[in-house]
Amino acid sequence: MATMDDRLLVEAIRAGDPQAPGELVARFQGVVFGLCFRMLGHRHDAEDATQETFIRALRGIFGFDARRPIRPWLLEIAANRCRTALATRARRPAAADPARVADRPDDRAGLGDPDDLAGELELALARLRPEYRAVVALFHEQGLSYEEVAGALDKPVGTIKTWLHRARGEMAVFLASRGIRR
Amino acid sequence: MNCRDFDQTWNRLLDAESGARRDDGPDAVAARLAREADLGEHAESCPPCRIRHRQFETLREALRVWSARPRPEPVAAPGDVERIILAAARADVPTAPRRRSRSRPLTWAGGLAAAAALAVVALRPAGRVPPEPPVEPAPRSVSLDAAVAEARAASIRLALAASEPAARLGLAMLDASIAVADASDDAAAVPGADAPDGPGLAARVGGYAAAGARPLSDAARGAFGFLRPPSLGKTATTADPKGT
Repeated sequence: MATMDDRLLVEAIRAGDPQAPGELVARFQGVVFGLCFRMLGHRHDAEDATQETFIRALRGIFGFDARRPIRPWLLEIAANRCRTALATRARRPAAADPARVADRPDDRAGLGDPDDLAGELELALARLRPEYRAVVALFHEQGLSYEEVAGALDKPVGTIKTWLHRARGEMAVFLASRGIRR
Repeated sequence: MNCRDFDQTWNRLLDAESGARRDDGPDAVAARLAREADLGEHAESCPPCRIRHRQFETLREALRVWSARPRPEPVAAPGDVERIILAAARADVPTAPRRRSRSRPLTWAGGLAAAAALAVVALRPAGRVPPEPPVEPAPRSVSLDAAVAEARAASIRLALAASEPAARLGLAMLDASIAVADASDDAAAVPGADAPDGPGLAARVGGYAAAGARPLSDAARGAFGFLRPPSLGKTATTADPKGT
């Protein structure tokens, strides 16, 4: 099962192999969770969205064109779940619920460690629009190509490039504003 | 290189070296060094781009460090995968396939659902579920009056059947209470010794209600007040609690 390629894995799920759904989850939950975590900025919400993604994927596995790569398809489902979660969150009253506090670093001026470049980049990332954040996470963190990111977010490649370039520009300016020097 | 090319070149540089895309082969390294030289040359001659150049260099280093960190991972809880699979198999709202017919069976889902159903049946404790009451067949053709009368009688039977055990229990409790209060050794006061049926049962409870017997509360006396025998006055406190 460990060496089975994605296409065979899809066929195994369709054929009723009892191990195959678990293999699908094990193989892709990292990248799916990574996207959900970056888009939602909240670990528990990201775990919920990850589970919903796999539930929907398993339900819709017979509608999936097995000639396509499965990773962008899963990420597309995940991105849709995250957008739904963000819309729900936006409609929710802004009550002081401690469980809703996002897993974001404290970005108050003077509290950061200038030598913690990764931490500073996390701060910069957290300030981006969710779609910019998703593009940075998928491209730089998960290593997807422009085409895969475009497929996952259901946008043209040109849009993805524009978003990523703007995101980099904003993050570069933010790091400079924090006094970060290479 | 103009200022627009400057940004584009920086982005191409960052594209090529992010995470797994970074290529340290001789050709890639040569191309990278050539780009860096072009960028540095333009930055030297263009003060606004010089600032931008420093910012991008910092971003580049930050992206390198950040990409090398462990990726965020979900906290694995026991049974997560099983929950996902069972939730998918429940398929309350099945996802319609986009390109294929739904005639193909959800083999894995069916198997899991069947297993779950068997588990539920197997885990159900035997003998704890009361048997279903027999359903009497309705007469095929009856008049309206007869049907109403039958429904009324059935309702009364049902009410008696449902409330009689509780009434008997309550009566036994009252009998015991009165017996203790009177310190009587009368065998008739022993709970359940002469438990009446039907109207006698109701009359005895009514007798207690009229007598204000404890432990009937005011609310309980109000609730059972309609059962008071007509011969007993509201203030009669010496009435036979057994209603005989």
